[in-house]
This record gives sequence, C-alpha cells and structure tokens, in this order.
Amino acid sequence: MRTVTIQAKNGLHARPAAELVKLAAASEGDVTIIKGDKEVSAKSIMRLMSLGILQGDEVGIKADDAELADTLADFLEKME
Amino acid sequence: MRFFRKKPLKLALPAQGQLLELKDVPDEAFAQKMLGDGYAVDPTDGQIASPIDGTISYIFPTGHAFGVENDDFEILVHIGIDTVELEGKGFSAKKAAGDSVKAGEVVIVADLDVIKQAGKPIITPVIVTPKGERKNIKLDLGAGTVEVD
Repeated sequence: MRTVTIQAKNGLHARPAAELVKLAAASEGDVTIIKGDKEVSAKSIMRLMSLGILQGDEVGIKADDAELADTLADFLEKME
Repeated sequence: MRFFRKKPLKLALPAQGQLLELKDVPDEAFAQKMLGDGYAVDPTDGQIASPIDGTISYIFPTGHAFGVENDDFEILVHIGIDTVELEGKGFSAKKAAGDSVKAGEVVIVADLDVIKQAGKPIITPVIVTPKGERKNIKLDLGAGTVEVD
C-alpha cells in the first residue's frame, strides 16, 4: 500500500475526485483509497467524497496495478 | 417481467428555484458531466434538501456537499460552485451520515448571501448515479420536474 499526506488546501473535493476516478478507471483491477478505517473504490466519486479527505489527512492507496498506485499517489500528493 | 415498463421515478429539486441543465452550470467539471449526469437548480432559498427518500451517505466536512442514496440511486448534491473554498463558512448541516431522510427534507442550510459575497455562484448541481435499471434522466424545465426512467 502507498501512503500519502494530502497537501491540497481544499482536500479531495468534487473536481479532484472526478479526476482521480478518471485515472483509476484506466485500470480494470481493484483500486481503493483508504482513510482511517474506511476503504472505498477509487472508481466512484460518491465513495471518494464519502471519505471527506481534507488537507493533512494521511491516505492509503491500494491497487492491483503497482504503476497505477504510483500514479494515484502522485496525483493525490500534487493536486491543488 | 421485462414487458412491464417500470414507472419513472421522480427526483425532487434540492431547493426552491429554477431547474437547469447541467450544461448551464458555470463549472467545466459539472457542465461536461465529468462527475456524471444530473441536473441543477439556481436556488432562491438556502434550505437544501434531499432529492430522494434515502440515507445520508456523507456530509463533506465543509458542509458544501452531501451524498444520499437508496436502492435506485446514489446522489451528490453540491451547493454552489467552488464553495469548498469557503471552508464551511455559510453552511450548517442539519443531518449526519447514516440519517434517514425523506425527499424534500432539509439536509444543509446554506447562507446564499455568504456564498454570493464570496464571489461564488450559488447554482447547485445534483449528480445522479443510477444503481438500477432506470438510468435516463429527463428534465422538464418548464414544469421544474425531474424523472428517471
């Protein structure tokens, strides 16, 4: 599992969540995002929004495809 | 059973005001349906309600968006545009994740003046993710009604 700390001032809100879904949808395998004890599919905006990810939160990324996990980790670290 | 047409399901507007198509939302992500299909309302009142009978899935920590779902739909109501930047100012949640709500029941009270003064549009998109067979969202802009069949 990759772990990143969210830097974006507004966290993972609707627009970045939509972008994340687009990246995750490129893979057919399972891709999940983890915050605390909640783990949700990275392919669902609704599920991603339900995590309520804010600046400073530590977030985990699990993907069958290691390259995709890196891509998503990179996105979550750098998104604004 | 497939010969029986299922009755269309009605979705309520999340607030008093004019029903709009998503393409008229002043934000590319919503207008181009990057988040999915749905509709929007230009609210005249800050009492923001659930469009369906269902369970609150989440209230985003800033109170500017919430999710509600039932067996037929997952719905995201996003109050205003770029309102995440208000960091909760002007939003007051009346419900919490896990609460049952009826269509038309207020979930968040938004101070529309605070949003306007911050320079953000108050247009409120509603993103509908169908779970069942009914997937076609139909807007009657004149009547201000939304049906899914």
